[in-house]
Amino acid sequence: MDMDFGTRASLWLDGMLQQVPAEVFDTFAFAGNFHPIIVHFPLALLPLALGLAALARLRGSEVLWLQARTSAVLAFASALLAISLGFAKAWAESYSWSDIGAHASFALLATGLLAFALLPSAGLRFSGEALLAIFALLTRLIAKLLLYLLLILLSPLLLLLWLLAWLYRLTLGRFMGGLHRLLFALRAALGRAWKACKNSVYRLYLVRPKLHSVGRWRAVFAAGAMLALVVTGLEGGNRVHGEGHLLKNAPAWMQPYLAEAEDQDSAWLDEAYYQAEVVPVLRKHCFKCHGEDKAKGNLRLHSAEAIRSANILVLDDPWGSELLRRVLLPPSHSAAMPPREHGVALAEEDIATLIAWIRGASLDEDGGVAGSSAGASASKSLPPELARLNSSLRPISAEQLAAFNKPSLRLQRLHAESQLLRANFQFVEAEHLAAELERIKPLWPHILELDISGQALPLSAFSVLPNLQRLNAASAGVDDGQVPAILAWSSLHWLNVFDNPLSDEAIAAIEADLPALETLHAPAKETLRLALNTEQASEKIATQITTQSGDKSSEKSTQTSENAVQ
Amino acid sequence: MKTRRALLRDMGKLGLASVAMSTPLGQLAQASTMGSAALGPMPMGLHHLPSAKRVIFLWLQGGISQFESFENKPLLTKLHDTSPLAYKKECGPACLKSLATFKQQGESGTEVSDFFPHIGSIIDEFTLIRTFQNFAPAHPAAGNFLFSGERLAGKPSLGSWINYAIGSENPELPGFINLGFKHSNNKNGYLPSDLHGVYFATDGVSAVDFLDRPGDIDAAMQRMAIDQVSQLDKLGAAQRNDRASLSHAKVYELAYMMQSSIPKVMNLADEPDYIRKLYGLDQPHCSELGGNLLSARRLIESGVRFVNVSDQGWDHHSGLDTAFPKKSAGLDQPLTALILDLKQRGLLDDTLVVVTGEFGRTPFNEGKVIGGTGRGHNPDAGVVLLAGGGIRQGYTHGETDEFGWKPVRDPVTVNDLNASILHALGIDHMRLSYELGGRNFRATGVGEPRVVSELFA
Repeated sequence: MDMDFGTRASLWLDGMLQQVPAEVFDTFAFAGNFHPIIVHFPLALLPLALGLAALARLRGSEVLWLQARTSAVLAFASALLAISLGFAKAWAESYSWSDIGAHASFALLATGLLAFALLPSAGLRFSGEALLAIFALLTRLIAKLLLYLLLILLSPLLLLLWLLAWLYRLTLGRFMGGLHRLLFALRAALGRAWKACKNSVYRLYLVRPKLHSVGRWRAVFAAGAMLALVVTGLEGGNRVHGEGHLLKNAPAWMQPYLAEAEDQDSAWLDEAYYQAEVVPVLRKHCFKCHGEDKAKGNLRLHSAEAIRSANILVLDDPWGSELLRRVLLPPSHSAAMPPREHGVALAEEDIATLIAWIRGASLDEDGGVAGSSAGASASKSLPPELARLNSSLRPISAEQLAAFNKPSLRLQRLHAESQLLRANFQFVEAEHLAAELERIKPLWPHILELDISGQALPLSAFSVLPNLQRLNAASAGVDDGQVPAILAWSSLHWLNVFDNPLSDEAIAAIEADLPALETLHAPAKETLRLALNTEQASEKIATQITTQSGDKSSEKSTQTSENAVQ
Repeated sequence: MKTRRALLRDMGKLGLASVAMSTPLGQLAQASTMGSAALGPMPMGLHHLPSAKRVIFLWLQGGISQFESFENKPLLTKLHDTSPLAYKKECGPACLKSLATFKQQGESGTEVSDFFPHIGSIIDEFTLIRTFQNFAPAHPAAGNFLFSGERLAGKPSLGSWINYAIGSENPELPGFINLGFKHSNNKNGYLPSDLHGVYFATDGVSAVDFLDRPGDIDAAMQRMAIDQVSQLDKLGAAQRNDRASLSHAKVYELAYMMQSSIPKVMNLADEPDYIRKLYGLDQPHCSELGGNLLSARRLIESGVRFVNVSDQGWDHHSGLDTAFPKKSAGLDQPLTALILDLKQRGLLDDTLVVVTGEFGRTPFNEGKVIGGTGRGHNPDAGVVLLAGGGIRQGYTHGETDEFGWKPVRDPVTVNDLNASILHALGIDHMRLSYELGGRNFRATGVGEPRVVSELFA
């Protein structure tokens, strides 16, 4: 009950999204691709409607009016369609609100204004009146506030004048009359000015624009819609072609007038690091299409300045940067970079270089990398290979995960912002294994770590977990027959099969055939013993122990003094 | 009678679990402040990827002398029995040279005293902190500080915090267990009372007091009583929004399960002979700590989150020359055995082993004042050994002055150490807190301690 509305709403939405089958996502992705085409309809139809309306007014032609109205209605309908497709696109490709917020808001504003312009006369008049009333209320409120502010500011002056006048009259005024009258007059003039101000505010109540004709209001709304639509179009263009794409190639004489107050923030990423570390990565993977020669999607990456103007980086926030998002998308995704047909995905160390650069890594004086990644904060985000896997998994909400958890089967996230899980099957008995696995079926691809140590469970049952990376199967009765199940986990890099009846050949096979394996804890070949035996350890200690065991009294006294201090 | 497994399976229908596990978010105050009860206060998971999953925290109560173990200060030999002017006020009497001789060991060349030959042979497994600071100069406050990050008594212990944050993986045992001797630093404080550190004695089946079912009560009767109590607790929890009732029910259920899990997990006779010998169970001076460390390994192995092994008797104000050799021999072999055993089992990869006293000792001879040979408390510099769980191997952190009296470089406070332990477990100590009386309390006091990232590989 203590949860605030926002949290509950987002949980609810999260739950609803979970219900959406994958096909629907695909459908949205498909439909969303038509958004850039459909947007041109309202962009063309609305100016047409405005032009026709102007012409109809000049000529007084009913036919032109009809045509103007029809194109306006068509513009409205196509705008609605474009907006729906836009949201479908945004959802399917998981754009953030900061990406498309302005674009979407102006689109909604334009469509809303257009809807007003198309209202029937009565409706339009009513909404016009309502708007006016709100406007009037606001102006009066502000005027009154200003007035009282003025009064507060002026009152000390008035008080001072009044005091001075009285003082003068009581002292010098007795002998030299006249001056105090001037002071009184000044004060009176100020008072009158105050009253005049007050009156003019009351007069505001009488000021009220008159609604001469509904047509004029229609024109106002339609013009507003046109303006908003232009902004929407520009914003949308910026999304597709990059920021400032319209004016980029303006002739030289125009440039001084266009130059914005560009903030030359010195915090921009290190140029030397870019040249030394980033350029090789980009040359290998990106320059073919986004270099000096070619600029696909109007994006060039060949200089730090070009990248900066492309607006694809967020300083110090690799995961919020478009560059990294594209690079980390699964290769099958339509927006993944480099595209599947043109190149191979970036290697992990290349991605690490990009991350370090965006985090502000720089070259130190010797030309070595003095990355900012040293220290605790570096480990907070997921390493790239896990990030890649993570982004391909469906999100699980906290509630859902809690529902899957049982005392005997703990499923925990490896990292708060991830969908990756550790599963502990140490307390699941073999007879319930199949049922328990079936129960958590939606989580199978999420499980990266599995612990079955001390519990004899057949490994083949777990072959449904495709992404297993760490397996603790110590003392779990793993024999040679189960080796094929182990070998099937190609991404396994930590394996513990200590204290299991496995033959040397089986261990050799595991070592040879698991490509990703980094750590293997095999059954012990010989019993563990200390490196030194007691004699080797130290004669000194050997003698001390023997003498001490006979010398109980001194030990006892030490013990009591300790207790006293405790 | 139901088996323990069957009980676990049926928990959805019975007592505790139906309250604790299936509580919808927000229905109880507990759930709303702690997130989902099933997943602790971090329902979304860890703050970052962990390098450790479990902790064995070996406390050498009293404060082990660094000068007889890992801190070689030749100056003390030179100034032995003389009183350097600059330190006269603090320590009065005279410098005391080390009773040990030091040798560089392992590839790291860390200097280890000849009191610890076995540890010397595996010194490359450890990170050694030489500049551990506690600030509290007396045992009670220093103990509180070491475990809870605050000097005053009654605050939650680190083990409680960790279990509060990420829970235990073993439903049949407490997530926080105290071996060795009973002390007051393993309390849950203001955290829910089921997070209390439970004391286990070393001897197998009777490790926990009053655990067995009384002879005249049969199993069915006991089960019925527990069910009734759980139902009452459930009722109380639902009606009065009462967190304590939930903990009460949880503790009852846990104790019931421990009746069968304890004899199994605490039975050291299960271990093969070579392991018992490795831990020194056959030698009188090693058997106590050896048995506790072996139990600790067994508990960790079965999914317990935090085991505190406490070893008493390191407070050598006097009798350093007579008592220390025996204590050191009693630590040397069992600790080495623990590290080797964890390593061969693959557990050292994600188990963090911490060995520390509450503070270090002085370079001066307190025996001059109270008789005998000994060293006083030095809260400004002490030694800590860390191993496993993502800790760097063969690394020495920090440096003290030529007396070993104060740090000159890289001091590590108690809160720095605890923040680093939490960091290893994937917890950001600045984001783990518990609201009490209008303030969010942390496991690491009120300052801004530093996660010592140099300690990690």
